Amino acid sequence: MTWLINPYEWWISPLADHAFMRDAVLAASLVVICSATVGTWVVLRGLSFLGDALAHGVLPGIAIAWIIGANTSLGALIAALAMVGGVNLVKSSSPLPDDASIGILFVGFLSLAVVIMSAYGGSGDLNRFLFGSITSVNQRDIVSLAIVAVVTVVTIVALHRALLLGTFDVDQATLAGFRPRLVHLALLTLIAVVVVASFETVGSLLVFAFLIAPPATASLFSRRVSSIMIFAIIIGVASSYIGLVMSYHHRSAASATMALVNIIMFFAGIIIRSAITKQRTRAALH
Amino acid sequence: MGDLTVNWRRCRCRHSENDDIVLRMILIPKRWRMMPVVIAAGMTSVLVVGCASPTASDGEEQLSPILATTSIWADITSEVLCGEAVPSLIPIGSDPHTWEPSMATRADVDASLAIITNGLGLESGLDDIFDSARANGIQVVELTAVVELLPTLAAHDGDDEGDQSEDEHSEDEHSHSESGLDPHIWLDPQRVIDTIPTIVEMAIESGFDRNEIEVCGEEYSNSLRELDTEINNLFESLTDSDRTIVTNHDSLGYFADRYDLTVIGTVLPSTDTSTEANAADLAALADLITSSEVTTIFTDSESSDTDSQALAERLDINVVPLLTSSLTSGSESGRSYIELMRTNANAIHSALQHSGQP
Repeated sequence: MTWLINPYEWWISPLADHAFMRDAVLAASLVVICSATVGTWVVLRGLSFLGDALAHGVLPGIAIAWIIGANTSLGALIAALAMVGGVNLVKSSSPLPDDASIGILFVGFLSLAVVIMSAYGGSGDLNRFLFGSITSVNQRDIVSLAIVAVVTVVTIVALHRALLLGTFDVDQATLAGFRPRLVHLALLTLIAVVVVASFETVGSLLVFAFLIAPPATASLFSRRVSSIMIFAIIIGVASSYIGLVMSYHHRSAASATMALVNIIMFFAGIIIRSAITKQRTRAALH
Repeated sequence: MGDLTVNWRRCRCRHSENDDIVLRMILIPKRWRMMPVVIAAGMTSVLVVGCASPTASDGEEQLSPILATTSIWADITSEVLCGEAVPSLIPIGSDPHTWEPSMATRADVDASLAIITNGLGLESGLDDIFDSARANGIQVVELTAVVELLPTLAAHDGDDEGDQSEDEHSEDEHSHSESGLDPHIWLDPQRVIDTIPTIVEMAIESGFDRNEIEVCGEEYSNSLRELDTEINNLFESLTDSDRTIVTNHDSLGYFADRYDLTVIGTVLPSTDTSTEANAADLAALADLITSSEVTTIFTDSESSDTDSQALAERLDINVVPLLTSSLTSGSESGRSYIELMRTNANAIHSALQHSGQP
């Protein structure tokens, strides 16, 4: 109950006392800015499963890059793009629905990663990529996350109309001179970039939670895309902050706690939404 | 799936603009517009005040300036430091191979003067925190750096697969746990004795009294020598045919080296518990167990032993859990490092003793 009785002690003093807590909150907030803006389109376009597949599809790239001593982010990006290409290839050359082709590649990439890891004995350092290192964020991480956040937001703003029309009316988008397929591919590439930029901080197992949960929660309360994005960022930053402070006070694994708070927020959102709807119906009846 | 999405969208289209709660509650009403600014300003001012004035809460956590990663190294370090409390970063009962740190772990590390670690990839979840700690001038002592190391079973055996990965690895400069060396040095008391001068050195650098620490270090070394003799005497009665063992993961290499046992195989093909067994190796191991008349698989009580259990059931042999990576909090047997080694030695001895008899 300290969080209620002594709010300064619980909420503020961890940040005031420790630079690493401030860095962690800053890094998590930057991750949220990237993932919530892109994630809004992921949720609205029904691409959640592909997002999940991409979040885990980076693993074989990381494993190979790590074994040959190359840059792991580059390996992850190549793997993510290979996943996007692979999904499109399976989709266009088979009668299968989207989710089946995604599922095939998802499992393929995940098992490839596990096979590579086991062949090279021990997963040791790969833990870092699965769970991230939010406990020890350095200035370089923050700078690169900030750059990705700016690139993401600028791209999303630039593509806003094309994405909006492409999501809700493909024909009109084509008529308006946008190229829906190209825009879709750009969005997928952006998802890949965001996943790759975030996995070292929050871990590749949990980056998906940051991509989906805040926009999903926000979309319960709004139908305007821009307000979903803004609300998603607010929810995501708040969840990350609560998660980090909880991890500080209760010694729970850091990035998993943040992800869990994001999910709890979603269910709280559902409860609040149904309460509001009930009240409105009652008001309408009287 | 496509259908569902369409339905969901159609359903959302029925909402009127009035349903936009975010817009209504946060963005539209003019009197609310300044709210985020006010909140941000409030939080910033609290932060600034918090940063400027030293907080009174500092005295709350009375942590020892010396930490250790695992509970076993914490106990050993504490004995060398004349009983000074040495908290372990990885809680009792957790498997160091797979444990994940919290923000509190980072705070503990930052507040310490020195940390005793095992190294060789055992505490891989903490590697990043240690890098930051080193940058902040905290001593991070790796004990595997000061003892004679043994290759892992896979590297030692030199079967074709193991060989291949070894060759490619020697070209790789930054391989840690995959260097083909076994990290479980604490299961040999003699090697623990070899680490004591390093722990003493670290303590003196951290401001402990030299004379006092040297006496305690020597006393503890003597206790460990007694333990070593005790286990040696216990194992003397074993015949050569009793001295082959099979373990869950490759953890008993140093114990076997010290007490003249032979590890002929492990169920998980690695020194890391977070790997998967593969079918071919398991089949080969089953044949080996039958032909060598091994009657027990020794497992780790901190990590999963489902593969070992299944194999043992199939071959109708025993599974004996050992305390390999952590002390235990409840029972007497795993309360201290010496008790833990005694318990393990007795368990191994009684299992092997029966193996010769039908």
